[in-house]
Amino acid sequence: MSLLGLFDIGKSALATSQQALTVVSNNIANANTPGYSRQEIIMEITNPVESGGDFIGRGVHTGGIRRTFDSVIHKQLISQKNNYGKSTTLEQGLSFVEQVLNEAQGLGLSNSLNDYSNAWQDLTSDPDSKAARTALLEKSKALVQTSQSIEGSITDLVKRIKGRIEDVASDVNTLTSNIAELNDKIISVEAGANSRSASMFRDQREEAMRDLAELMDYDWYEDSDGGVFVLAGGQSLVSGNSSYNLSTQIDATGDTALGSNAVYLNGTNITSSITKGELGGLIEVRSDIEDNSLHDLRKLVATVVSETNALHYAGYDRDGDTTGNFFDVQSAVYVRDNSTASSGVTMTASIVDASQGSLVNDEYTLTFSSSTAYSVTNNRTGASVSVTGDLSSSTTDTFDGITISFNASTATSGSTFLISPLRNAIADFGVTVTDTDDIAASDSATTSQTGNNVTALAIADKMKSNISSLGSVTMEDFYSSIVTESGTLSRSALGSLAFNGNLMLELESRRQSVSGVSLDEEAANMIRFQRAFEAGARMINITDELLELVINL
Amino acid sequence: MRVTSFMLFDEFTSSLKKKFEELAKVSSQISSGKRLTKPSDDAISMKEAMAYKVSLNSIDQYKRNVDQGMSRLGFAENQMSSVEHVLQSARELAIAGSDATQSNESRDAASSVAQNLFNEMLNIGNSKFNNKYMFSGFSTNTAAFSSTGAWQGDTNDMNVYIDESVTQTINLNGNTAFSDTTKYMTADLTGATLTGTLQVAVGSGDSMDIPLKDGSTAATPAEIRDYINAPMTKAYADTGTTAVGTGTLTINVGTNDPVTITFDSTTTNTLAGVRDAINSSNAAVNARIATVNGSPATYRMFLYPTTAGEGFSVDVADTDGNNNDTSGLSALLHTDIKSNLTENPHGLQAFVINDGTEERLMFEPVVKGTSFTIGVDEDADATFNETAETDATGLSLLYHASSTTTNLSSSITFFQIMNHFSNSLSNNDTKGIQTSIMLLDGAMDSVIDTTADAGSRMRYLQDHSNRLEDNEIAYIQNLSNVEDADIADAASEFAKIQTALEAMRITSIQTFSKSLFDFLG
Repeated sequence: MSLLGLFDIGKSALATSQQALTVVSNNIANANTPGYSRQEIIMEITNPVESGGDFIGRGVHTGGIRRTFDSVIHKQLISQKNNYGKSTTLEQGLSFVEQVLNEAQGLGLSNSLNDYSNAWQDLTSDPDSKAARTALLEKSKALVQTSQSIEGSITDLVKRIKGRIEDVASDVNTLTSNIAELNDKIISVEAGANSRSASMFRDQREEAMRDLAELMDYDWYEDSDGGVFVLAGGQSLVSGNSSYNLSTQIDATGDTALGSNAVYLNGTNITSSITKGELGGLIEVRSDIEDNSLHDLRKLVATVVSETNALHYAGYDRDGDTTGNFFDVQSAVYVRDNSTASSGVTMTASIVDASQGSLVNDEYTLTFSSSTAYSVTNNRTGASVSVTGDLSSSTTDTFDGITISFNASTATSGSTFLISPLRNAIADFGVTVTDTDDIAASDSATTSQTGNNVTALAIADKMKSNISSLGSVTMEDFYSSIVTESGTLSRSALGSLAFNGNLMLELESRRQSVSGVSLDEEAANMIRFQRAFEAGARMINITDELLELVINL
Repeated sequence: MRVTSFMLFDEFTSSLKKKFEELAKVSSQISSGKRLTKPSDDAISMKEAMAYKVSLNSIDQYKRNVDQGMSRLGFAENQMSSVEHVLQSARELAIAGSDATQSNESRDAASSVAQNLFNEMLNIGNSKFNNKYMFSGFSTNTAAFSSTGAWQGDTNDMNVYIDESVTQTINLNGNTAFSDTTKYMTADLTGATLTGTLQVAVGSGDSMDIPLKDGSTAATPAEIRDYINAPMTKAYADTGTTAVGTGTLTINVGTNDPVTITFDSTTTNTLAGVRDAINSSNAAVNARIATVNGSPATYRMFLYPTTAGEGFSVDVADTDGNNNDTSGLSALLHTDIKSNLTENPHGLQAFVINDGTEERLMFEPVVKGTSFTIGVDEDADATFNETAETDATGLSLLYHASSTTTNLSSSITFFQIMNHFSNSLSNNDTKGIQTSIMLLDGAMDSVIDTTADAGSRMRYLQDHSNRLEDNEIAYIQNLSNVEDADIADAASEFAKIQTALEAMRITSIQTFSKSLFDFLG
């Protein structure tokens, strides 16, 4: 090797050290960049030459820049982000419901319910008293207002959840198009035999995938060309450099008044496949709230209405007249066509009994088994309900206090309908009686019986009695179980949030442990490469001196 | 494990977050004083707490109801003791009035006193509680009694809940509180034609057929009373065969001349013979034979004055020479009319209640509380209680089979008693005055019963109120156990968390402030 070769070796040392310093400074610069994986320079000996039988190296060169990355931790993080995203959402939604029903601070319905029941009691000991009658009307209105404001808060929450579902879906779409773009870049960078790692893009893509995991659960795999495929509900979200958008719609089971509830991908309803991440959490918390708290609250109010009305309807007021209902009766029973295809019928339902007293206060599913035959099941008990009527094309079939009417022989087999006397129970809740004299405290038409308290007594008793459609508990107990259930759900969501948060923190810290930047470490490396650079420069200096020596010989 | 600065920061921030959450929770416990601030803090305790609150609220209501009941019953009890005073005064007046030496004038004066007592009773009966008539049942805006003492209310009871599913009646109903419900009384008999035969049976004894006046002659209520109350002879196996003894009977009625009837062994020496001889004599006394429906049937004769209510005596001169033994004619009747006679052998007493406008018959078993029946045979065909004989016209007004099948009302109101009393005084009717004493005694018993009933209900309410208060205290205690924060615990917890936070801050500053870069030069 010639003396000039030393220049080349020195130069390679300078260049490589400089590159190493670049990597170090890049690491330092990105120490706080989310998703950044620490990079290391790979140094290699430049092709050695044979010299006197031995091989001597001709300097150093950069073999590549490697990022420190653990794919197992990445996978674990993705699934943990799924859980964490869901827990966060559940906790937020359920703790809100809990706050709405917070009996600990006396904000719930319990007080109003109690006051209402007590107002009837007060009327029993002085049925002719104008003051007691006025108080009863006031307490009844307060009960209406409280229950409507609680329902309003809960339905607002449901609407917000559904709005959030739309927002999350659009966040998902941004992320998937990001992933598709990054796929494209990674594939092109890493293409060819002389593959270079697209570390930076991979860091970004992995970060995007982790963000996506926090939003929803998905399946994924990495293709041999470096691109990832992302699937949800058997449908492609990202395939190579293309991404597919999620959309939100109201499906057959959705309540139009409360906004869209279902998530579609490529025209397929994948709502039921999304069980994790924020989206999964939102879908679950929505159904938790709609099917439990909201449903039960409406059932309770419907029960107060029907139990009070049934007795009040049969009673007599201060003038010895029957005055009908105490609370408003729903004008029509809520019916929703849940059929996937066109059902072929228009169905309406109404309450048979003028007092709503014979109503069972449950929700029902009506299913056509043919164009002319149908069956009805109670959604709570799952039991089949017996229907009076010819069950085929009649317009006056009745069951459990509900009359249904629909057009004859046009139904598509398999069509289903939700028939719910509960859906509008709180919305239509109101006090019918406006004149205190019209309150029926008596059970006798005899006008002289101004002290007759039998009906008031019966209603007061009803408020403390077990009601069979509430599962044989009192109204107050039923309400307290609504509250307790909301507390239990919120509690368990909080517990699982804490658990999942800890687990994620642990995984995050393991990822940091592998991929994170340690400033001390980088400082040490900086000194190392600085010294290497200085030594390389010195090497060139010495070579120069040697050459000068040779030239001046 | 490789530890990077990022990890340290993360660790620090997440610990900080947790500590702040704990701090927030403890400080909210301290500021609210409650351990439970939301249902999820402890769902089970929350349910318990809610149940306690519901119970406390209910107890509050039940206490209000109990208080209402106590003041109502207390007021009613006071009214009843006033009623007792009125009855007591009436009774004293009656005792004085029954004295045979009283003159018509003094009885007239007493009658107006009785009328005042009646008015006082009426005021009590129409007393108001909370401006509502308290004795008229549900008809609280209707006076319980009219000015004549007629019941105008209804018999409904006012019940309130004093506990879950436990009701208590908190009123006294004037219909029962102002009547003696042990007496059986007919409707007004004025103008009713009372003919036929009565069949009286008391308890498990044999029934007795008592024929009223012969044929279609109607009997007056007072006569029926006399028939039923008349002392009767011993029972004979037949009326027309068995010899009853010979001799003479001398009948003395009031100031009339004594009438003497002779019985010899041939013509009149049977029960029917004696009866017919007495009835065909001019003495103002009649005789009738009642049939005791035993097995076999037996017969008893009874005498009654032609003028109802008049006293009489019968002297016997027995042919066997002994006028006081139980053989011969003296066995049938005795010099002293009552000696060998039995009073009310059927066990029933009758009284006439006359308030001046209405005349009624009242019946009472000799042994109080025994059940009795009165059969009616209006057409005297020996078949009792035919459809037409239970229809509440004529003699059927007396029909009484049981408390459910009866034309008798099972009570007499205090107002009827007072009216009868004052009428008897003004009519100078000593028998009526005596009946009044009996009625007033019964009324007082009844008032005492009613007062005792109200009193025992009040005691029950008082006990119940105490029980409710005990429960309330227990529930408050339980609620506090479940719901309230242990302030001492919470405060020490607060201090602990603060110390931990302080330590974290200090150590983290030490850790984060130094790096290798500080030493590069």
